[in-house]
Amino acid sequence: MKYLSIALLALSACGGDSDSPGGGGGPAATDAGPVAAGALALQFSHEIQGQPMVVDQAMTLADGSPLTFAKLRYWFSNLVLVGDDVADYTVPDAYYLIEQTREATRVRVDIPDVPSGRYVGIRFEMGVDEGHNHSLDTLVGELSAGVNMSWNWNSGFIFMKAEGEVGLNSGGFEKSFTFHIGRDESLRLVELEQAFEVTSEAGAELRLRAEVAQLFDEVNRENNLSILGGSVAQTIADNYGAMWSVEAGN
Amino acid sequence: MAGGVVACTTPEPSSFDAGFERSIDWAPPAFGGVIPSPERNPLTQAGVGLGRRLFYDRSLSADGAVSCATCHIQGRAFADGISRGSDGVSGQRLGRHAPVLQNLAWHDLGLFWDGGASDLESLVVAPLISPDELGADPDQLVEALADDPLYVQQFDEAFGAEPSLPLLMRAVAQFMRTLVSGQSRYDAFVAGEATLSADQMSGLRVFEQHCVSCHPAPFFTDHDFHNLGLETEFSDDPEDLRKGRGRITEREADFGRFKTPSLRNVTVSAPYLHDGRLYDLRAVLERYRDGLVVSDHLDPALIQDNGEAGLPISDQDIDHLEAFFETLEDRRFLNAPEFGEP
Repeated sequence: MKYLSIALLALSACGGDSDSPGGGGGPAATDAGPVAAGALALQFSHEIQGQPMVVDQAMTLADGSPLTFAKLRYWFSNLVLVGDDVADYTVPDAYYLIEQTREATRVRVDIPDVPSGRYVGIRFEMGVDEGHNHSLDTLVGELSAGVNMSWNWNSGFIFMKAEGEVGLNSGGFEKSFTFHIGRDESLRLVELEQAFEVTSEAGAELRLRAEVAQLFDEVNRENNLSILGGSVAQTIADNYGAMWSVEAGN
Repeated sequence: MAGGVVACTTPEPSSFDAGFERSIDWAPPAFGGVIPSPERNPLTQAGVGLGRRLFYDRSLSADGAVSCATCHIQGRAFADGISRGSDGVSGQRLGRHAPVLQNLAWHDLGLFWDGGASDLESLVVAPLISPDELGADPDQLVEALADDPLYVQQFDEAFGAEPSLPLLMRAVAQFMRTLVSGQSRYDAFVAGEATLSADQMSGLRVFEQHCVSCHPAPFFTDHDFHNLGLETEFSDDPEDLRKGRGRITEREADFGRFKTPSLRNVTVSAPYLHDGRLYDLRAVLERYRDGLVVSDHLDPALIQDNGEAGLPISDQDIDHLEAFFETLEDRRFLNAPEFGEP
């Protein structure tokens, strides 16, 4: 099942690559007439031990160690709404930069024109699929080489940046961490089950919760925490693929 | 060298001097007759013209003093004549030598000395934003372009859209793709329309014996990456630059491998090698003969059948090779008005 959905995502990512913004899968009029549609809001909540993460504010990991984020940014992409009584809906040009930094907070995405109906879950990717990851002049979605989320010397997007300070596993001093994770092998597919209904009257809201303390799972904090690649980057990619839960709002 | 002589690699000799009346994607027959472009960014007159203006526009840089052409000078085959330049906004010396810009449309294994840029469009943003080169802030740059009525008109004509960073990248990539050098005396010789001197002919023979495996015609590069035995240490600092291709692939086998530069216009594009450490061609050839540092990383093409490292070439062979390299100088390319500052 997982492989099937990956294949579907890959197909949709390539097939829907219209360079024109807004092109693609909206609920266009069909032979049966216009499809009823509503808006879907995604509200992101980055949490540490269930507490909302606040930039530059010291919080606490499960083992009691301090953790402070200075920056969290990532590409959230290829969102698919899994239909119950309607077809799966691939959100067109779905590449969004979600971030919490000293300069900017962007934790909400509004998706218009979602076909009305009942859905049973969502799928998305953390990062940028291979088909869009190596040409930095892409015009698709919010992808841009001008927002410090790409490696311009090695053409590709940085899927996630997390920076701040964290305590050692052994307790004691805090040390700075810099996670810049990218490259094709760091893409992670996330599948979440949650029933929700989109109606043309009320729309729908999903609250996507990321337990960002999980980014440190299986990461030895005694070691160098400037992670730009290598095996630790894959551990962190596994972590950002596993840190999600979702609730329906409204 | 008279232009008419060089001209004749085209089917219609009379068309030679009318370079800009040709189709915008014209290339010499030996190159396939057409400049390849990605489907998303075909060459157009408007796009190339816009890219040319951007290439030469110093106002793109953070301090208004640096353009692409600051370090890519037409008369030097778009290199800069400096080993590692420091003419960028920060004044910091760059990690590598500014490469020549010619026949880039055929570089299908990546650009930069380590192949890190996947295509020309993607390449453009790196020097544009790097603080040691143009140092541009993308948002401010796009605002400035949108405030310039001529740029607004040119972006509209080229792309039917307002100025933006990706479209800027596409336009400059289009201009760079048109920088085609394929009308040297050598090309005319191959077409049967010019002769080479005795020394040049001797040089060609030495070249075909010892150099073509990595520098094959018609581009005089295989576009691939090789370790020339320059060093045995590939330190992490600064920024893994010494790892060469290995910086990109993270494979130790690729440490110290750098892209084969084309030998076209090599007589005007000194200094040489990825860090510009050698200032004349003779020094490069002598190093190939007896200056190689032997290591597990040294390219096998530089090891002779008897196991010794280095090319078995005599002083006279070197003289002849230098004579041959003169035939790869493309005066038309180096002086073409359509490649110069608009």
